Amino acid sequence: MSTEAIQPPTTSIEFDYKHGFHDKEKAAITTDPGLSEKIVRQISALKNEPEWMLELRLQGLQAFESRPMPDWGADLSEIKFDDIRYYVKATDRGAEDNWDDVPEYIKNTFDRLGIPEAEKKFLAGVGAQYDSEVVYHSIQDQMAEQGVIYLDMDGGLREHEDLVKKFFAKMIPVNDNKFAALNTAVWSGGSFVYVPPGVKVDLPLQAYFRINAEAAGQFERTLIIADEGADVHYIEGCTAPVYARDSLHSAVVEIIAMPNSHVRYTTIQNWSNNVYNLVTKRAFAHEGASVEWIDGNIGSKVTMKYPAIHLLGEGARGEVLSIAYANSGQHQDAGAKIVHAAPNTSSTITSKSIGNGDGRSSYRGLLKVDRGATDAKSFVRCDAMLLTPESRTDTYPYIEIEEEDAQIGHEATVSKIGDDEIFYLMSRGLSEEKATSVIVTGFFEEFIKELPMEYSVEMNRLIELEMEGSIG
Amino acid sequence: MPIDTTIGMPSAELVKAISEHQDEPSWLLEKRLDAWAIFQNTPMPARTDEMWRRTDLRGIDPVNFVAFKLSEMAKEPHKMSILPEGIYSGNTVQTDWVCGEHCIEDHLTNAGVIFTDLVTAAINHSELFRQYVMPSQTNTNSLAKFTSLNAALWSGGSFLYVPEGVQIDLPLHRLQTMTMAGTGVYSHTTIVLEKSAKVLFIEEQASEAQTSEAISVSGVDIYAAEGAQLDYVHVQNWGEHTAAFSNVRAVGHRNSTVNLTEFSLGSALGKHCLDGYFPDSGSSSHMWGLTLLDGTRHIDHETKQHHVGPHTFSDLMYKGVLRDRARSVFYGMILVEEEAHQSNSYQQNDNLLLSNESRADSIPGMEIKTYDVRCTHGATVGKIDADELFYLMSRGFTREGAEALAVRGYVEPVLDRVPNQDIRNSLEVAVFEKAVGSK
Amino acid sequence: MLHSGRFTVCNSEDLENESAICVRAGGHLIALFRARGKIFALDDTCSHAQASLSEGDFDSDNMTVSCPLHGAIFDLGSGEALSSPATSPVKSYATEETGSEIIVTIP
Repeated sequence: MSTEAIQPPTTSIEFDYKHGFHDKEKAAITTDPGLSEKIVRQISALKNEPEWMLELRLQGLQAFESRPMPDWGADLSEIKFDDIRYYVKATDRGAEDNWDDVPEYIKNTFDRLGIPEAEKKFLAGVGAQYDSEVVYHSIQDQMAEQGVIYLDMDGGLREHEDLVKKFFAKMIPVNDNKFAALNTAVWSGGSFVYVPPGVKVDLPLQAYFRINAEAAGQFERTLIIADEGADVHYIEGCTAPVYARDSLHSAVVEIIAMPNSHVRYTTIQNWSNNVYNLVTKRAFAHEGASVEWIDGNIGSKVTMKYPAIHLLGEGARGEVLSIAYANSGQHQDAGAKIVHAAPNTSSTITSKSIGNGDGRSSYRGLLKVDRGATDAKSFVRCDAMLLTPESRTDTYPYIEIEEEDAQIGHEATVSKIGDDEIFYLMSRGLSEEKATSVIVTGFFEEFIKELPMEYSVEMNRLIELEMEGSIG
Repeated sequence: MPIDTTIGMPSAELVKAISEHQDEPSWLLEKRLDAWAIFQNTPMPARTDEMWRRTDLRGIDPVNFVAFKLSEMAKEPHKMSILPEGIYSGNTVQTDWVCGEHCIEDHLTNAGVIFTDLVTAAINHSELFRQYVMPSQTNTNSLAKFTSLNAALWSGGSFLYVPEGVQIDLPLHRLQTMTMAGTGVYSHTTIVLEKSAKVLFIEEQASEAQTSEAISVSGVDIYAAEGAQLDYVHVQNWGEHTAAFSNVRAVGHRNSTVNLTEFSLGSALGKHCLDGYFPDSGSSSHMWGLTLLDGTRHIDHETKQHHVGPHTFSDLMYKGVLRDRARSVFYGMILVEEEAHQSNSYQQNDNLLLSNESRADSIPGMEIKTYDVRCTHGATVGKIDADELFYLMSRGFTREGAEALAVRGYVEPVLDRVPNQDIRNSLEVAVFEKAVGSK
Repeated sequence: MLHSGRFTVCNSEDLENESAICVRAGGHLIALFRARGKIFALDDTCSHAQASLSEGDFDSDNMTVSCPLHGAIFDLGSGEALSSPATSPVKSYATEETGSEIIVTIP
């Protein structure tokens, strides 16, 4: 599959020197709390969307309303759907919130991580703008040179409707699950990325620097299209905690990797601990393509997220490398789903999770090899480390193999930190706390070394912080 | 007293008729009727139940199978057994609903060992019976519908009680047979070992050649008191048209050893639940199984290693060999509670697929609620290692020969878990024949 | 318990126009559809997560059925998987209608 040549992208973001940057769109509003057909239509009208997108939103609404809540996974019973505002205008985002209302632990983490002043307000949700315009523009210039399209999703729909229509909701259909349906109904923000054939995007695309507050919303929708032979790395999120007043975050990420392309999608999410983070992510990998989900889950009250890869073409490869850190009061229910649907495909899933305080981390995964997907090779490893007697961990791997010509292995271990490991480090002069944090960092090493340098530095500092005061 | 065969289908009347025929005390009939009520109030498993999603009942409903009829003893029921004769200290054969004699060596009876059918146990040892035999009618696992029916309709059955300190050197053997199509056989075995007792118990199930469908609903309850050692070997060798529903529950108390080894060789369709429960410290358990499937056969194993006591150990290994269009389902759960400090639990499910239309579903699960433990699980699915085959063929084996040898090596470790050489050898013959297949 | 052959699965009147039911043929679970006058038979069990296809929505214009659990779409005639999250087809079977009965053939 290939597409016709695309014109160089024009930015949909206007830059106003005095006020930072904002989207060129009509006056936005913030919808009333609760969800209804009227609100979905409002959202679509505000964005001036084509009829087919409104149609999809309405289908999403219908599916959301008719589907039951999942009877598995984390406890979602406290989500008050009727109290949520499903669309918040950018400038409203800072208006009601006060820096003083931001929880202390968030402010402390900012200080400890050395987050610059300007960034702090943005991350705390009390600033609607983020002054990273210089970085943003230099990224855009480089993209233009290579013919890469990198816009927010609204912009993508506006300027490249045909391309979006071809792939939107194809990897994750409207009715896939309750929260994907919700996202389809009320999505706003997120990224649209198209990489032309043979193009290797040199630097990682970092959503963090592109978006403004509105796009950092609850219902992001991201679509990444890597054309034949393309190569791109996309990074979402940041290690610093993001304070969100709205507690339901339900994002959808769809990736299509055409033959021989490569897409790596790195996520580091550290939502404040009032957030329900329910995400559906799925990639299609065609012949010879490879896709990696590098997924870091820290923070949030509840995370339910199972990045998936469908290996649809011969020789396709998939990898999911995920970590989850569940501290007190947190439940990380994460995992991976890989389907081998073509011959000669291979995959690995590596999941590492830690439970601290009374936190709970669960691995939930699917490894499926369809009949006819000959010569499939897959290896899954889930390791869980519990740091306290009250923490807990669960593992629920589902392995379904319909092809004899497959080599499949799965292993999982649960343990605590060995006493001898701690004693050794303490005998070298480290406090027990520091020793534990060193071991935890070592446990996550495989994941951390896959991050770009500045993230891995921050990641290490963040782990230290998380471990502080946790030994008792 | 002759039974009116028109009331052979499961019903409250049949429950009463069975109880009457076996001359049971009234309290026992009441227990049966309570179980019948639970059966009626429990819905049949549905495809939307997570634990039944992968196993279609194929239209089988136990109420359509005759559950009790007088029958003649089959001429030589022991010929259905694949195990050797004459090596046991106790044995019994039940043919369909008719319970044969429970033979046990005199010196064991003198030592206080009880080995008898359930009704005799109810009458002569009612205290023990009430304490241990199907004491609670509520079962919350996936076989709830079937175990309640078993508690209502069982006949014959076996009760083994080994008093404190008695160690039985030779094994005990129970053979349950099924001789007729269109029938349902409901059998129940209860094994109780007091402190430091020891026994090897072999439970075998076999059918005459069948022409059409039949079902078996069997229940086994095992209690091992402090320091007891129980080896339980289960050989399921039902005919090719049988649907087999088996519920085995074992409780291993302080410092006990409970080893359960299961060979699933027969049946068209099976759902086998195995619950290991370890409430006190220091117990240890090996739960191993081998499942051989061909044709369109389908067996679903649901196992549980439930650790409550500290310093407990369990090791579960289930291996499957699949051919043709067979399908194996494995749900394993390691459940470690907060109090189970310093416990270790291991679980492994391996499947060898020998055809491209077979299918293995493996769901090894864990829920760990405390940190001072070591738990691992693993699963592998694949065909015979190509390198291994190549090596053997280069040594002169034909492809068939090389495959057979590889399969033998694969199943051997489960056979090695049988602690009696004679029994192991007989099983080996039957297992190898079935595993290697007719080519 | 699972057999091959020709099986009468129901009476013609049991399968109304533009409707679907679940029947058994030789022990197998089959989803039977009558769409635009024609009869189709597919494995009732979705190849993705084993939900019942006879309970899904079917579309007579496109001759497809979508699984009620995650929305995977299958072609009524061939059983081909046409959308995510299904990646493999379901079996389709030959049917006959003799006026009063519907027969499904399991090969």
